[in-house]
Amino acid sequence: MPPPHYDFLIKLLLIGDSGVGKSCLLLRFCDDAWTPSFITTIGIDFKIRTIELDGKRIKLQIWDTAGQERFRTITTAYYRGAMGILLVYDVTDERSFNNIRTWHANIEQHASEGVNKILIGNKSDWIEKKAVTEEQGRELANELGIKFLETSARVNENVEDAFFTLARDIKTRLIDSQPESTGQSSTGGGNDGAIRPGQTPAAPQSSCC
Amino acid sequence: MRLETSRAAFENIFHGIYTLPKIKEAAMSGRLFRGGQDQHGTAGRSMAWKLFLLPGSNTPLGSPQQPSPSPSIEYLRQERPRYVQVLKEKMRAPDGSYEEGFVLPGHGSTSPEPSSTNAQDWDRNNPLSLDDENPWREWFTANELRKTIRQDVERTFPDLSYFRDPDVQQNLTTILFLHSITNPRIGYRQGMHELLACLYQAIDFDSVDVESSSALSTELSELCDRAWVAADAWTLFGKVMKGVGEWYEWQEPPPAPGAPPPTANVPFVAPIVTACNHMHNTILREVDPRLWQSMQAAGIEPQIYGIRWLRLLFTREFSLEDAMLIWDGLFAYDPSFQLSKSICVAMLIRIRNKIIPSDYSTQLTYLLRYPAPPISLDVDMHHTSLLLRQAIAIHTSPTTLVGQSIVYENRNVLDIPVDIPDPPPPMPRRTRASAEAGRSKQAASTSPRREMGLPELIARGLIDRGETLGINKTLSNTILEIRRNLPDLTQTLNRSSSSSTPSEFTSISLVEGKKSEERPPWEPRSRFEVEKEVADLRLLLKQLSGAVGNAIDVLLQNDEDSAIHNKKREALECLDYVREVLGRGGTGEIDEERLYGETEYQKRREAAREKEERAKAEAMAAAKAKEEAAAKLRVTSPQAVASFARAPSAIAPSREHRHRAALPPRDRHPPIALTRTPMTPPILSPHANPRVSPAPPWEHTPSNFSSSPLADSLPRLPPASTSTRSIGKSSPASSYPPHSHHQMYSNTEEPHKRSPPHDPLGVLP
Repeated sequence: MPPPHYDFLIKLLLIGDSGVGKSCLLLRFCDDAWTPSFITTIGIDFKIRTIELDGKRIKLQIWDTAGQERFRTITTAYYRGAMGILLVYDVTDERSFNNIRTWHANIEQHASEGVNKILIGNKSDWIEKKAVTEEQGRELANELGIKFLETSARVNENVEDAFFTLARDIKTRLIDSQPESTGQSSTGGGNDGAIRPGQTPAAPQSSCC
Repeated sequence: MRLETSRAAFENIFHGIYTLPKIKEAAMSGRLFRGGQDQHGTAGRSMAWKLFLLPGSNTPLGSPQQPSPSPSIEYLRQERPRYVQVLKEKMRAPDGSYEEGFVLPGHGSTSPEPSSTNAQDWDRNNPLSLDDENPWREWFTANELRKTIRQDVERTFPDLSYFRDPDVQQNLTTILFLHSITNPRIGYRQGMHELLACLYQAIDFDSVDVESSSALSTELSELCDRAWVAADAWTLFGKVMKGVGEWYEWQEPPPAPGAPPPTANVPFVAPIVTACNHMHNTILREVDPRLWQSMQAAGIEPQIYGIRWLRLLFTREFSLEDAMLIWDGLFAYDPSFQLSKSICVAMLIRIRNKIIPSDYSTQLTYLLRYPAPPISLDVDMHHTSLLLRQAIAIHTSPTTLVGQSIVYENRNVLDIPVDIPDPPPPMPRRTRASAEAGRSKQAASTSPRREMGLPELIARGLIDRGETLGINKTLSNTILEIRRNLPDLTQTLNRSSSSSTPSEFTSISLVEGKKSEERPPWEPRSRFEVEKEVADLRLLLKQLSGAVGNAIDVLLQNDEDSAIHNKKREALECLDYVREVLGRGGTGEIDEERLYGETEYQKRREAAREKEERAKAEAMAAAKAKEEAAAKLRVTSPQAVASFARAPSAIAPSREHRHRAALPPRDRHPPIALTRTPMTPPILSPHANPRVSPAPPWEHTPSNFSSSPLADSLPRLPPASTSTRSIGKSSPASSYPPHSHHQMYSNTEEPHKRSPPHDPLGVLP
């Protein structure tokens, strides 16, 4: 089975507390499936979906992190080369919402500058247990200066939107803009902006963490 | 009925024919629990685990001893009350009360009495106090921890109904809670729940109800008392965490008293990362350099997959049943689980055919979704036993030779081909014909990244990118990349030149000499060497069969003219020679001229020479193409060189160019291949295709067959398993000898000189 042809490769990262439904979002988006009984993610998981955006085929390489791994242990390896991050909380779990700030700080520390982010309030279909309102979510997103969506992996609501929105933002930032005109890329000096067809964004040949 | 199987398993382990080393051996080869399995578990497993993991049973002193349950029982007698103690202490709220329904094991079903507390300290000890030392704070934190644990416990093995039982979930949560609170530095980490779940289930499966079955032996009922399932699970879990625990560490250990404070410029590296790096960059690199190289080139970081493999001890990579078989061996081999890293390496080697031709994403997919095990062709050899055996071999001797043997063993037992398949085509629209043509050359070019010079890489990259983007955009992107990556360039260049050295050694295949020199004479040969020898013997048989077939053909002809008469004489000589080879049991070198007779031998040599000429012409064409590509390249800036060298793997190769570029100029032969003896033909890796690496005419030494162009143009190593197995079915030409036995046996004797015709059967004039 030959891999599908694609024009760009984008690495995305799912981040958030344990049990907010990161793996379920990924399963919904990549396999259009849902299961009530999901096993705990250990370390990371990883799925791929190729989407078409404005006539370009974009391969999304999505990394699903374990909710408990917010520590330096391995996170640096996850964040490396990530171009977009989905910050996920559970609308029925206030604590997961409050922890978003911690996760955000974590991103600031480890991810490359200018990485696109989106805030996701998952399990929006569970209305009777809702503990975080959509307003609260939007406020926080505004404060962090990022976009926001409430999703439900279970009933498949806004899941496509969430990933497509983020992918489009990344495409705008990195692909559509002319390399010369983006001031950030010349000052950054890193490889955050480099999208190479057929190439992994993860730093090649690193022999240690 | 369960009781009976438990009793039988107990008798088998402790009162059977086994000595302790034999039990361990049986556990490692998956033979310990024959029978007694059902879908919920395997009878006797937890007994064996207790025997392996608990102290006292493993006294290394003395002669092979009969295993006894008494040391384990002795140890559990101390641990069970300790569990109760910890439970009482940690599950009690600061006001001395316990949760409703809380029961202490071994105390019937009555809740423990609430203990009295320091009532006079009411200011501090009340749930609403804001005092820093309010014990309720700790209690609330503990409740949070229990909630976190509970969340994972509820998600443990969702497919197994056993783990949906509320009592089981409660016990698992409690045990994990107690363990984390008594080991605060690591605390609870995700993954522990799955390890405990497996232990708990095995212990529960073997447990016996002491009260309702008084007929049981006291030893069995004490070792497997159902009342103490949770306590024993806690004890065993503690032992497992002694070995695995460091892989869960996530924060710097507190500095030892008196030690200098940690310096800021040495960042904390989690032990799991160190372990993964060691496994990948030391053991794997040593054992299978080619595989390591390909993963390195793709940019795979070992902790990405290693974390889960190691932390969960392979429960997600295999079915639970198979994973438990691995645990049996793991626990038996060494309670500190040193073997785990070698198991990882053996697992990697098993899927090397899938990994090596793949790009980054595909490699990662295989690593994070480990492929289902192949079916073992050997009914007595479960694939997990094979894996354990290979891991032990790697653990004892992490060498390339062992790696090679494992590849062959996987071929023999699991039917995994030795050859690396084609990488998937970069473009879907490729014709069948070109795919076929590609395959024949693929073997030698499987690692073109290593073999290609920078100019080729650049040319390749440019053309590929030109295909996707349009050449102009490509160039501008490239320049942008260069600008961005500039700081890394020097480093990368250095690294790529140094990392190419070990990869050359990947081409050593069955260099047997080194190993046998290293081994002292009193040590028996390893299973791996035997395995390799079997593979070689098979090929030899095939070769002999071809020769006999040839002789028979000749003998069937009418001998009217003298030419045929001569041929017949030759055929008889051949048969005699076959007899001789068979007589010495397949050892020693084969003189192919004697095997096929002079006439036939000359014919074959001619054919091979022609073939070689053709290959040479192709190589010339390739070199030309290379120059052209390099010329094209000069239009770009010199930095582009570095940019492409930096991540060659990531550039989807254009098939056509890769193949041309990979065609060998002679100097690409790994130098190592020629060092052992100048007479030995270059030794190719098992994946190398003979067609593309002919010896040039000037290297032809007529006096020694082994370096003749004929020899060089022949397949050297066992072809894919299917064809190897069909011994004697193929035509003589296709069953032509590989060269491995030259290497295998060349120590024993000099190549045969052509001897004067002799006439054992008395038919010569």
